[in-house]
Amino acid sequence: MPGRQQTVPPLIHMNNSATLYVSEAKIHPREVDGRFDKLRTISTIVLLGIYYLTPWLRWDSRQAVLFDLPARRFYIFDLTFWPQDFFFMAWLLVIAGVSLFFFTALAGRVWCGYACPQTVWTNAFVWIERMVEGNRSKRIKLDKAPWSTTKLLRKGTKQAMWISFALWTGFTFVGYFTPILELAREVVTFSLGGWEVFWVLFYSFATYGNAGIMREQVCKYMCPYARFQSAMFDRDSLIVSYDTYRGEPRGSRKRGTPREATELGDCIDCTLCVQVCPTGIDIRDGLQYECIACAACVDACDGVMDKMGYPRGLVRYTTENALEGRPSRILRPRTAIYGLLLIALVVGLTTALATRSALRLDVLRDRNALYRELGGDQIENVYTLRVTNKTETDREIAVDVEGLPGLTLDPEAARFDAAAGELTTVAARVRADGAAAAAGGHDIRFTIRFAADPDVTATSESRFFLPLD
Amino acid sequence: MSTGIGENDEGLPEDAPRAWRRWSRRTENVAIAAWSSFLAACLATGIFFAQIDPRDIRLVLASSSEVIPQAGYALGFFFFWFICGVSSLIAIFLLRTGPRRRERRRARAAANRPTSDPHE
Repeated sequence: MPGRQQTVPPLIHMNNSATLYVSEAKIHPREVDGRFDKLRTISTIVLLGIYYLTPWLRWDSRQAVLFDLPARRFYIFDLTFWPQDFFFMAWLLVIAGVSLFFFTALAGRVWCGYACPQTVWTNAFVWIERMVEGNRSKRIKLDKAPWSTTKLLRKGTKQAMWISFALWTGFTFVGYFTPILELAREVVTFSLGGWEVFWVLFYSFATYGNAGIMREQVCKYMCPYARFQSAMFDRDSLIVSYDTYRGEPRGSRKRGTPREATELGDCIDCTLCVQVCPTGIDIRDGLQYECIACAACVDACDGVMDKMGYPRGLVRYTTENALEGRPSRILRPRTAIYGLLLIALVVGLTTALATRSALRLDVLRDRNALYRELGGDQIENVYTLRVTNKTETDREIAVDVEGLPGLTLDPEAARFDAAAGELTTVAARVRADGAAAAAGGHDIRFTIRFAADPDVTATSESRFFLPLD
Repeated sequence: MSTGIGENDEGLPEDAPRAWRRWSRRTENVAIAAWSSFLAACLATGIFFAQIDPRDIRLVLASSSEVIPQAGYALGFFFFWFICGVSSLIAIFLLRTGPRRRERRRARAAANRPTSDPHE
């Protein structure tokens, strides 16, 4: 396009008004229709559906997903986690962190735009608002209008719906920690416990405040991810960007003006991309940390380009390299390393979970005496066996001890019952022939197994002391 | 739905300077402190109670009354939140009240440069 003046705003927008305090009206994002809006709607419904339905699922005769804090065990479908399994939780957190790095390097802030609870619940609250108060211009008009019965009614209905939705959210949250059927019964009969009421209200308040009131402010002021995302980005990461070269100089024109008939760029300066933005930024100012990559501006601009008969994609998902006419690579050292790390962590966790023993054994030596001399060269050491039966049925436990010739275990400790999901403590007297081995300490090893299923084992090492004289 | 081609935005005149809905310093301080300490408190609560059963706290405190697990977890969480919140507020206070880096840098640059306007 010869003769076209090209003013290229910097890619990183410098907000020079940082010192100016401007108290500004609420952001009323305009409704938008398009591919990415559909995707966002689907992801919101799916994610909220998972959140609200999961506690109602049953598994055998219990709640499928239940974090039972008083009993100190977490149930996730077939798996039961104990406080000793905290390691898995930490591992899961590491996987979540690496995933965030991987997906950000690859696809930019998809997390923010489609999956972050902040976005998802804000979407739900905005839908309710739109349902009651109408579209953007109606909402702005309503906000400006003096108080009247209609305004009171509309605002009241919205608040009532928001609060009910928030309370349901809080109720569901507590349902992850207290059996939800019991909880529902208590709600119906008004017999909810004090702490349950407190947590329902606490979480409802947090939902209402974050999704109803604070919204994009949370992303702008409180989200750490928005600030360090630049560390995960490179020139091949997917971003939502305005094509400055194609769009500038911007300017309004009559509908149906062919592209060739004007000196202007493709941007008709309709400001729709600004109006639909939930964080209230202008994407044409370049990449900004406030941008949550929701692609609402992409949908809005595509609609306008269709109306004008211009090709789509003036605002689009692209990469910095692509914008500058260079090829973008998906496979590059950064994504390869994050990807391999992620695969290794997931495989490791799956293997660890699959081979996780249903038994756990801790052996403590008796602190009072190193050994006790019985008659006829027999030496006795005393231990405490702490056995955790992680299954959901009562089991008989068989114990073996080895490491010294002639080691024997008293019969009461060789076989005993361990209740389902309980820690069982047993005193074990172990005897050895004092003449058969050198004086001093010897390593011995305890092995426990289910009597009915000898393949499930757990071992623990300890020391056996023989007299020095 | 109207796509609003060429329409003026009712809330935002086209020639108006773009104003931002901003939080005041104080709101920002409190929100950041509350949120960062909340995250830290979640982590601390998780690690702490994975090791310690709230029912055992009774033994540590040498108290004769029974600790209700729900209350133990909740109070533990709020205790961590409070402590982390204090730390966050102190950190924010020190950052906000200390000498400003940018001002110092600007002052140094102005002192080194013969012209008074750094943009010329």
